[in-house]
Amino acid sequence: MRINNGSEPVVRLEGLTKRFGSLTAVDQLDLEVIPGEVFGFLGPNGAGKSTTIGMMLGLIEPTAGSVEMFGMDASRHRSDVLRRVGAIIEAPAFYPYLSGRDNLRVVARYSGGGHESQIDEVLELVGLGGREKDKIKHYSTGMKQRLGLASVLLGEPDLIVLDEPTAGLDPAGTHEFRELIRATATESGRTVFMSSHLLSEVQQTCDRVAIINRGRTVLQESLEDLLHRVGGVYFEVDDSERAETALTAAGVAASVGNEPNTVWAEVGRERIGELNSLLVGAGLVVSGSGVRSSDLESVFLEVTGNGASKEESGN
Amino acid sequence: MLNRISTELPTIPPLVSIELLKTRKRRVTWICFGIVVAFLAFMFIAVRVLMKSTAGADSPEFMQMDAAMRFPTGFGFLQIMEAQSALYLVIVLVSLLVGSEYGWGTLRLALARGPSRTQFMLAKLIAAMLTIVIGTAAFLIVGAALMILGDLTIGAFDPVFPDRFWLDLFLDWLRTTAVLMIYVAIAFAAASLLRSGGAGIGVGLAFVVVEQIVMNLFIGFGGTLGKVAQYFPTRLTESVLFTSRLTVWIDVEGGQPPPGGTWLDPWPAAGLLTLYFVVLIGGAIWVFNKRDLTSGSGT
Ligand SMILES: Nc1ncnc2c1ncn2[C@@H]1O[C@H](COP(=O)(O)OP(=O)(O)OP(=O)(O)O)[C@@H](O)[C@H]1O
Ligand SMILES: [Mg+2]
Repeated sequence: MRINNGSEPVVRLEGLTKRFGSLTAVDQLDLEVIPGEVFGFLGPNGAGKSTTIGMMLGLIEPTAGSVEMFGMDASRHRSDVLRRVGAIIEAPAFYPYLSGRDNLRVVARYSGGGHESQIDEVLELVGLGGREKDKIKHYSTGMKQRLGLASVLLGEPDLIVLDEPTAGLDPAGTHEFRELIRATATESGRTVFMSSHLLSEVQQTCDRVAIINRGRTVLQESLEDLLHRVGGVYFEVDDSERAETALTAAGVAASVGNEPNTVWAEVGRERIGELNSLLVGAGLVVSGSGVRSSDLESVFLEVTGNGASKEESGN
Repeated sequence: MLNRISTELPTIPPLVSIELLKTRKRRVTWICFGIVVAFLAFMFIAVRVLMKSTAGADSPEFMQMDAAMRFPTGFGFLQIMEAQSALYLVIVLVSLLVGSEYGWGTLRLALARGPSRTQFMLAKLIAAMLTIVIGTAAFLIVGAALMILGDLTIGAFDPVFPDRFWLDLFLDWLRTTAVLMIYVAIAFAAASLLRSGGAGIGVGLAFVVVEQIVMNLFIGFGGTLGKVAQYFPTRLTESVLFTSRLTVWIDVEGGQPPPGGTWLDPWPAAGLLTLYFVVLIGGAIWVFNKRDLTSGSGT
């Protein structure tokens, strides 16, 4: 038992493994989600995201390893744990012949009842007020997504788990959805765990990310560190060693690049001019410079070894 | 084990209320009920009125039909109709109640909210059984109204109640409704094992058809095969139903099953049906608890 007040992780996965026959969908996954953060769970198609979420929610029996939530073993205290979780697994699922409101009533009762009074509030919040009496079969994809979010917010869960929440939303809807997710986390201090293969989504929404590929965690750190680590500008110089020394002396994190005569500096593009003068001032010949894109996409492609291009075979 | 059941039980009633809400709001429930009412109305009004005008009031065909459909003797006729055809509706309704959750993906929605799989399935079972109890009672009430309406239409309303009529009616209803539960179990197990409402309906209906054929063949052969036939679910329900007092079994067989050794006594038959029920439901829930619910197990 590791009780260390305050920072007890909301989710702790240890050695989590799932095999379907000979296929290892999730392989020795370790992961921790800290209270109050928006955690992005990234990976190409077939990486094992939905399988991991299924194991967290007690829908899939792990082959090995453990899921701990709120400091409790999730399989031993299943009901207690899940009553504090609101989740959408893959597409939000509803009873097509029931109205939006009745569907939320059903969800409220599944989680132990007592939340039916919040239905109007959450409908309003996701912008479905006025359409709650329509049957789900007449809802558009985006409306179903919104209702999905409404159902997740119902009962004020401590942890919200979203499996690819913005699939099927238009750009405005996607934006709004993200704002809602962020607002949920920041205003009410809830923890959000969301999977995605949309890098921009994660980049704009999440505090910390884990990237998985073929069932294994390849990376887990704060988004800021991550982008900082891989971002940077480069210079082509006549002497890369001397350039590194010059930059380091000026307090810039720098390193010699792999390509001949390049040096990397971990700074934003706005400092290219300044560093250029610095290098020239140090007597170096600068023949070119550029920025390495520091977005998540490049990180993702790099760490998943182009896994994304194999995505279709995953399904 | 007992410990677990006692902590799970208090949460079953709200789950049952959800299932009843779903059943109530589902169109197929009302379509089934509508078909039954339309069929009854046709039998109890149209046939009698038509026959009286075409065959004549004192033709033997009309007199026989008229006697069987009068209030209150027509209750016996209702029970027979129910015993012979309600099972098909039961198979359809129960298969859809269980199987549709897979197709829509709502199974994972429900289970990710905390209820255990056993609770979830037991709630479905209880809701299905309640629906059938309510449905068969409604069937008798609608039937009674139609009998009276038919009587009034042809000017023959003159009810005569035999001794202990209401008690016998109640007991007969109880028997007819109770034996339907074996078809609840068959549909429940088929739909949940095959993870689909359609497959549940297909297997359930195929089962009763094939069972009927094989049963009749076995009974025809007699001997050991005839003895085997008496353990078939439908044969067991017949063994129980033979004790009904208001139905035409009384006229045909004097309330006793025919001799020939292909029937069990009612109580052993009821016991065996209960055993089948428990095994089917228990098995279905056991398998359901073992399975992973991935997207592959959805549609
Ligand atoms: N029930 C199952 N039986 C066999 N293999 C399965 C089953 N469910 C998932 N898999 C396999 O496990 C792997 C991980 O699947 P999973 O659905 O977790 O991926 P994902 O990361 O959610 O992908 P996506 O982005 O496409 O949703 C895949 O190779 C998939 O084919
Ligand atoms: Mg997935």
